[in-house]
Amino acid sequence: MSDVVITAFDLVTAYGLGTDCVWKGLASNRSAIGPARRTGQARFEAAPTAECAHLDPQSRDTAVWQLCRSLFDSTVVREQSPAEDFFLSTTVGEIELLERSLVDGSDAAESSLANLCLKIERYLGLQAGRGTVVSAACASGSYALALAASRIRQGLSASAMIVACDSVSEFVLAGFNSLMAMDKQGARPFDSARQGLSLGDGAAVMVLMNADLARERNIPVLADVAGWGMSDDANHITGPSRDGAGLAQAIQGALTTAGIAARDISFISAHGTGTLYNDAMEMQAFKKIFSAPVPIYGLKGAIGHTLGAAGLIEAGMAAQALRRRSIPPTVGLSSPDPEAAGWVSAAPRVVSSDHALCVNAGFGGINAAVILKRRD
Amino acid sequence: MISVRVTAMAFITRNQCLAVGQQRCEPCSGAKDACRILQDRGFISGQPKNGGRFDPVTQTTFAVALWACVDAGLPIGGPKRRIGIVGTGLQGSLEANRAFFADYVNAGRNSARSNLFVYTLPTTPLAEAALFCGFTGPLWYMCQPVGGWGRMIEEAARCAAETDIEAMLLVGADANEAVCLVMQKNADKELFSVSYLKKHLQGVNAPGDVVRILGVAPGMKGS
Repeated sequence: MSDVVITAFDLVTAYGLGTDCVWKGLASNRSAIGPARRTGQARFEAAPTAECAHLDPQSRDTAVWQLCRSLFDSTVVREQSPAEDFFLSTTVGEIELLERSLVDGSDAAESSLANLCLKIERYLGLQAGRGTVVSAACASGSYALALAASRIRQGLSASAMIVACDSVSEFVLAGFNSLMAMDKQGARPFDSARQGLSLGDGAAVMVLMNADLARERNIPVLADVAGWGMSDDANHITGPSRDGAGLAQAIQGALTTAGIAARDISFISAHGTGTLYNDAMEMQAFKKIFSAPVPIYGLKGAIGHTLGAAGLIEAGMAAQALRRRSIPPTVGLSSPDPEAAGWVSAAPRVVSSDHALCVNAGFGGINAAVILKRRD
Repeated sequence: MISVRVTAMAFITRNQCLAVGQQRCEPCSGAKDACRILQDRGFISGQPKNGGRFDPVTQTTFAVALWACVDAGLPIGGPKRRIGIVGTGLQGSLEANRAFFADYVNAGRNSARSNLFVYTLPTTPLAEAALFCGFTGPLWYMCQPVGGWGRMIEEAARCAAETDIEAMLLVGADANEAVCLVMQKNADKELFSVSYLKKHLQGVNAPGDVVRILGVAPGMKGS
């Protein structure tokens, strides 16, 4: 069994490009969520989004492809490519190509997730067709991270690159609008007045490596991927289980894989969509596992819900928090839900111990938990 | 050393359903009919609550998962069980995406239908099966053009070996055909070995091709 480490991470969100940019945005407690601009649909103006300002809505390139290219031109990818394995995490990928196909008669199959995977492989000069698409609703990023880490731990691969991406699109806005799942004031995770989520543009890239290989190559390590667990609620096709049992099962699985106890967890990067049921479910799950409050924060009040990118973005930022020994505020929080009081905060906090728990949940009752460990 | 074996397999087409391990082959007129047969035989007590809204891929996925459970002797419904489901196929939810967005565009881009939106994730068909069966193990979709089913079998088997689940279902489906394998740890019976399937299904992506390559359809007896 090999130790698995994160050797590189980069991201682009509505705050801009790079981890420092996101960290500063979070520290400022200023949300990047604002009026929806790119879709140009008047009816969605009531649903604010966290869109990347640098994307060109007139471009023939889709928003997702523009996001990915912003990342691929960064040094992180160039310095550590090629990894042995490649994973793509997304929920709808280049969905704008399907939107266009209905208007101009182009081939809708261009919008398939497998096609985006091939496109990224070509752009990065990877061996075509060897990449793996992973999709697990809003837990896609965590699933991709867990599957990649599992292959390295078992010795099936020495390194893996994971790309996770999704963009704000008319397709997804229309869908979440039909579910009445969006907050007109912008997402406010764990707030007592929360009314729903806000969608956001986001893409991230992470490189995982066998710890021995990283040492041999003298590559600095951001954090260890210590454990992971996955489960399904088998309760409802869109809503989470009210009692949090499914997510608690995933967390327990991650603790077992990591070989640690709940008391070893220093802080939690929550899924925190800002919907009534998700945030309540998470608190139920946490209270099943932890006997006393553990510091929690969520990013979706700041950068919106980036869907298939969320899990990887949140894990990468949790690795940053471990390194900085500090967790960011939960942006958008003003009056904590009574169930979350004492766990969440609108202020940054200092943390001391070495393990971070990252959780995600999605449609279909899908749950994932990943544990990261600080490495000095 | 944990050994994972493929213990059961099911295949659904527009005109027949097969439970390979039990050598059960029945004529049917598609996925809905395949589910009705299971109800008539007493394997399930009723149809899914929201079955009427299932898109075609969800219908075939759902039916083949149930037939595979019957083939494996896994109970359907009742207390929740740690059984995982992974789905594969190069098209993902493309047809459901098209149906949802075309409906939205045809309605003047003013209102979308949530009952169509729900199926625009490649995991929703799997989740409908997990919900009906009460399966709480890992659930995700993955595909790889080059590795095809060979790679998916490797991933599903590893998940079965590494975690506390009692079985793992691997499903591939399109609107007309679906195939499902059941993998179990330290099982007494074996329909196929994981290594055999990895070797022979490398690069195979269509459900019908899986069945043709394995040669399980011919020679099966009717019930």
